[in-house]
Amino acid sequence: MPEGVTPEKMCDWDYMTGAIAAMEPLAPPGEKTLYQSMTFGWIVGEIVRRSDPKGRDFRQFVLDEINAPLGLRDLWIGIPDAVEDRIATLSNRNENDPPPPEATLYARSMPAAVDLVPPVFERPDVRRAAIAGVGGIFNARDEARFWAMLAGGGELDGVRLLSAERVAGFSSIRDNGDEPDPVMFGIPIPISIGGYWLGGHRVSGPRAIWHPGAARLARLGRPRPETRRGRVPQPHVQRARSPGRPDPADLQGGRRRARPGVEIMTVLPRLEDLEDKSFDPFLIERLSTGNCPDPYPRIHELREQGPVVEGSYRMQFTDVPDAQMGHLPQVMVLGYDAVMKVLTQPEIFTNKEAFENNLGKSFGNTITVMDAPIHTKYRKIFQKAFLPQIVAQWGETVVDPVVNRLMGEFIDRGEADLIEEFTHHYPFQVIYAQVELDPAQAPVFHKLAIAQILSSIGAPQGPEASSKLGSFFGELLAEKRRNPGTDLISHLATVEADGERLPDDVLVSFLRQLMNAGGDTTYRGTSVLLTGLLTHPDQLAAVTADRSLIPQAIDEALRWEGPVSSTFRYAAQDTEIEGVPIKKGTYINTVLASANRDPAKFEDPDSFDIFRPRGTRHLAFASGPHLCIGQHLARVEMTRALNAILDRLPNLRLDPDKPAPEIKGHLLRVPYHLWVKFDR
Amino acid sequence: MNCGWIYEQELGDPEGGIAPGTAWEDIPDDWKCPDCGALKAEFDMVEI
Repeated sequence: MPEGVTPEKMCDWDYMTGAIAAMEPLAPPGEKTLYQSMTFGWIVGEIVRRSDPKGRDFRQFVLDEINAPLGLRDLWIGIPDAVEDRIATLSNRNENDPPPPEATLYARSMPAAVDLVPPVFERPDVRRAAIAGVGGIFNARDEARFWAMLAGGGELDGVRLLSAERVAGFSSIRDNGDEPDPVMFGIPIPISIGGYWLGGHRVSGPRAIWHPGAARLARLGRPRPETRRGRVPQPHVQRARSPGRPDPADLQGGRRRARPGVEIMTVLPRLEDLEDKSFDPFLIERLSTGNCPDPYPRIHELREQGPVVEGSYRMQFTDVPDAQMGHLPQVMVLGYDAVMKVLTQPEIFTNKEAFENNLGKSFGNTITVMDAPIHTKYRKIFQKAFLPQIVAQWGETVVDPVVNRLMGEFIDRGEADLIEEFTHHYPFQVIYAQVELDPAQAPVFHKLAIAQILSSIGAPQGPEASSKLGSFFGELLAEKRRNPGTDLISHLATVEADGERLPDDVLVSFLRQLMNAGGDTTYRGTSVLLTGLLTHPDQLAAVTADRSLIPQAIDEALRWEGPVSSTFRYAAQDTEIEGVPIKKGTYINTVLASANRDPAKFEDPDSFDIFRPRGTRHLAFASGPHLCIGQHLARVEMTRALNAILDRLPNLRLDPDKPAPEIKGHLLRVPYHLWVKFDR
Repeated sequence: MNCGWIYEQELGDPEGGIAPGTAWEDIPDDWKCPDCGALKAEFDMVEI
């Protein structure tokens, strides 16, 4: 947005189009499109005005060319006085959220002075102005008719506004759609030709187009019927108003906690979905991990430069600035011995500073963000719940039922995508079982867990998700303390060490982290294990015949393609690694993947070989006091999953008619598909 | 009790300089857990 923009200036079409025209473009005109939040309306609107033979302004153009032919009565880009008393009041349910970092292009595209908040957008002049990117005011009926026209290929009730070819083009990704978008925090955004987002996790189908919306403003008015699920796309205009008074239920987030008269004590807590139910954290999360096919040649090059190399690991694989860490002094530590030195000297290389601004923001006060002595104290209590002899019991009671249920869905088919149909679900379902989650709530739970990590890129849905999961776990803990069972939550809620219980904030933060630390990594690790074996049929045959090879197959998979390539530590004092000085205050990219493929420790390190000598421990679970607390559970889960697959899918092999699996990502690695065939 | 690593007397910890067969009592106090670096004193005797 132009510097110094105010609500008054925003209402002046000529001022805005002139000021936007005077701005320096982020990319040469004609080369690419970048995400535009507010400016989109003026740019498109002015092109319309200048190219219209009648020279109409955008507001009038919409009335004449969209509303009149479609019979819309309440779709306004700038309202007339007459409808003002029918407009519902806006409220801001996100006012306690931290704003995105000021220096980011995202924040500059939506400056605070004209933020999407009631003090700005409830102004009479703003309601009347043509602010087409974010200021549309319309009712549900007319919005639906507009989208029905698009869904009909440009035609509705015999009236054609757009050619079918033009509408079909909206489902094609823009030329640079797979490039990181610097305005959207360096994440590739799948925006189509025409400015819509393509479908994704929540809105699916080859023709799906939508827009996730700003989620800053509540939509008030009578609750809408659930028309948004499935293939109904979202409006580009980021808010909708409808005539009528707000329903108090809507103000509480759309779901009442407990019906009057029902005793809360007997009710397990409900999870609240995100306000913007169409927001798709999975898409953002998947895109943010990148699709680098093979980071290892670059990792080997870096390691050959020495144990300490200036710069950040992430920047080796993307040119997009890192809004969170980019301005901080960073080095990479590479090679097995150097990485071990970082991980096993926790008094020099600390966690608190390294993680408080990323994981700490998403999850809160977790043990990942602590150092000794407080870390030692709490870690010991949590570890009690994850000791090998404890988690071994969950194999049969928790893991096997999940595995069998999922396999039952495809076992009769003789073919499957083991990622989409199996590994992407089972570790998360193990967690749902642990927290005794109502299965109907699982999709919301998974969504919130993933959305939490978006705090680190400044997305407002991040803190919203953290807060909602926090309330849920807080209530769950209270309930489990009243009526403890034998489950994990009851255990954690009541466990004591040295006569002390875990504080609630530490416990809730740990549970928040569970989905990401325990679900996501196991999903990736199991996927890589199956990929390694299926692409090496001789090794698969060996493991099938001799199950005592499973532990070494798991370790080799984690060494070969550990799910987490690099982790952070912080130099709390001036120090050195193998003679290379490191200044206090440096953030250390501790490149676990370089240790696990160090040729000094592992012969022919890039090959997958479950029979390699087992002398050196891999560092996929890291090392030192922060060593993965869930590694024993991960091993139980992977063992159970692999055994079930080998037992029940005879003659398992890659599907020769489908693409070979490709492990992707520079930081978190996984194949997106693993298509297999087997005998029925 | 920090990481769940279990010392097994028959295996010892050859990389940490503990020969197979070494009894827990005979391990020096400055020996550290090969996985997480916890000191011998931080280990507990647990029945499995």
